[in-house]
Amino acid sequence: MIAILRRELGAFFGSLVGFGIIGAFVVIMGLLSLLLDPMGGGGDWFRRGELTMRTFFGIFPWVAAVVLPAVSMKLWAEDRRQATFELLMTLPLPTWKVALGKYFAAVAFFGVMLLATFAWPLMLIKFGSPDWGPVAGGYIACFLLGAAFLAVGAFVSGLTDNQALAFFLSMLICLGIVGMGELRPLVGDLVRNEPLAAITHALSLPVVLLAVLASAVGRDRALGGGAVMIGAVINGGVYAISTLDWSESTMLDVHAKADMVVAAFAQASVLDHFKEIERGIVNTNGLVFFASLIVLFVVLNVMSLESRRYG
Amino acid sequence: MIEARGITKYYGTFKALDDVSFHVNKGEVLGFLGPNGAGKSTTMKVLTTFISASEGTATVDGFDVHAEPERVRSHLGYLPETPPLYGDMTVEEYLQFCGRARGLSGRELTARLKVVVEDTNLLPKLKSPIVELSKGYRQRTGIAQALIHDPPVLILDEPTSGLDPHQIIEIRKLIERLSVNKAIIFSTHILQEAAAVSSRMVIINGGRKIADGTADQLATLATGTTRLKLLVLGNFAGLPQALKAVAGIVEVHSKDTAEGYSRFSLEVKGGAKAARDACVDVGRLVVKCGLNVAELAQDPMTLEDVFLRLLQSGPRDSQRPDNRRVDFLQEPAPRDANATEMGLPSEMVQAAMAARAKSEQNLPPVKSKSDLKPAEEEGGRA
Repeated sequence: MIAILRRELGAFFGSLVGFGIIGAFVVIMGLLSLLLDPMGGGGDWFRRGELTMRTFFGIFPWVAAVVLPAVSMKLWAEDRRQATFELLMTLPLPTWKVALGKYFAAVAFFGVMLLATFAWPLMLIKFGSPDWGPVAGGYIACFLLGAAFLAVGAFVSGLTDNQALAFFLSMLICLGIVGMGELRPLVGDLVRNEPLAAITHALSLPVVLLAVLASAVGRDRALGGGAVMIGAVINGGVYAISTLDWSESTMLDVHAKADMVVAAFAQASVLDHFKEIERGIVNTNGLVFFASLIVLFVVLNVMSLESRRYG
Repeated sequence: MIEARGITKYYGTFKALDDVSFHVNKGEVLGFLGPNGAGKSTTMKVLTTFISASEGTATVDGFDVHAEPERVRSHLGYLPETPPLYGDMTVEEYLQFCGRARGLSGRELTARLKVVVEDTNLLPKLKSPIVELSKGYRQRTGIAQALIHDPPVLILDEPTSGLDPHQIIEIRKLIERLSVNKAIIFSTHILQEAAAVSSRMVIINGGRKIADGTADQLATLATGTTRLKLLVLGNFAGLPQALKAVAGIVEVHSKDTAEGYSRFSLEVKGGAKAARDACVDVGRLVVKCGLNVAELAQDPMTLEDVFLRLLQSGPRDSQRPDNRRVDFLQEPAPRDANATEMGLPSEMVQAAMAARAKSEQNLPPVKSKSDLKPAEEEGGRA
């Protein structure tokens, strides 16, 4: 396992691509932290005239969802394209050890990426006396979320021999994970106002997404196209019907249930857990959440690789 | 060391392997032959546990590929069809990685690295990035990788593909050297390759094993006959007829005639023993007909002939009792009771002699030449 980890780390740092990813990450994070104002503090850094890491941690999930798939895309896809996949799968090691070796290498590389952003806290020391709780919490939250994204990326990378496909699919999934939390208010409104549409969307969208994913991996365009069209027709039709008049009694009944749906969404939202840890509240709830996300996708990765033996 | 028992592999509904069984002993090199797409690589992937068989199983060094895959993997070295190389590493880094991943370390790793680098002549490229290597060096790096942990079993999928003749000979020598204390399987679709290195061959086609044996056994298996070549001095129209009457001979082909010599190709039912018997009879017959034997010997079939004939016919196995062709491997049936003590039907000999008398005047000056070959004159003239 150590041999695999060493080899993968060597591959990350042996090429310019590795340093390019680190550089891009630091520059994007730096620029966006200065220019954006997601916390609503009144304009960008130049206008605000105050230095804070809140913007940095606020945008991290979105940047990580785009950058980290570039780290994980080659983990398996590159081996799958070459015969080295055969080498790895015929080593006298169980598949989970090989998978963990690769995963830990990606996590270690990501750790270096995070270290490269330590210029920010250093700047805080230079210009003031920061509260270290939120900074440490923020970095822990970033690390956990990034590690979860890498587990997703490693899993997707193991499904295909095409690195670009692995990148886009894992980026979509990671963006989806982040977006789910941001969409929560919207979902709440939808559930309250058009319950039938909300239920249909909730049930059909994952199915359509899965079909698209399966078709992309299996290169079956008909499946993906068909799924999208059927999904569009059903969702559109139901939405149209649901905007028609509804009687007051059924609405009331649904409203009570809608709150439960929203609550469930909150529990499954990566962003909520991320924000909680970022605020310095490192509780078991959040840690277990990220740990189970990571374990889930690492196990899926091993299972999908192992299942190839029986293909 | 390696034993495959009834391996069947489906890819979806496609049957890639159909009940393939064979074994390889220690010290043996098994040539795995077949056209492209016959199932050679699939068989090797099952043996290396890279994929699992749908039915049947195999053992490597006593360990079952399905029950103890990791044990199997630690006992074998595998070179896939494409060498499994990381282009961003140097040869040395790559071999160190392979050694470490297989549990070698420290002095042991250094020592093994030295051995395999010498075996595969990689020293000049040790510090080169793999991406810059020529195909020959890549192939050799792939072989070095399979040898790094000194496995008792070696599975090489087309180890000589893409190499120049000089490199091919080097690899052959390496395989021969290694075979002393290992069991080796290597696949190829080149016949000379298999014949040059392997002690035994298995031929598969369309996922089925169609033959298993040494080159000579396969030649007999392919046709059920052994070929003789005959060159006689003199021209005699009745000779083909007379030859056909010799016990065991099933086919006579007249070839070219030049400078008074006539060439024939004879197919003898059965293996090497039957062919030797037939040689004696043919020699006597030719001399009896008043001609001289210039050349009479077994004509080994080219492997291409064997290969193509085996591919055309159905599966065949020298170890299977129900095989119709197996009869031909056994000794020929007792000779015809009507035959003379020479094994020739007397009426055929008489007819031949009569025909010979008629064409006496057409004969070339036999005597002067036959003086040079006293040994062939021993039988005397008819």
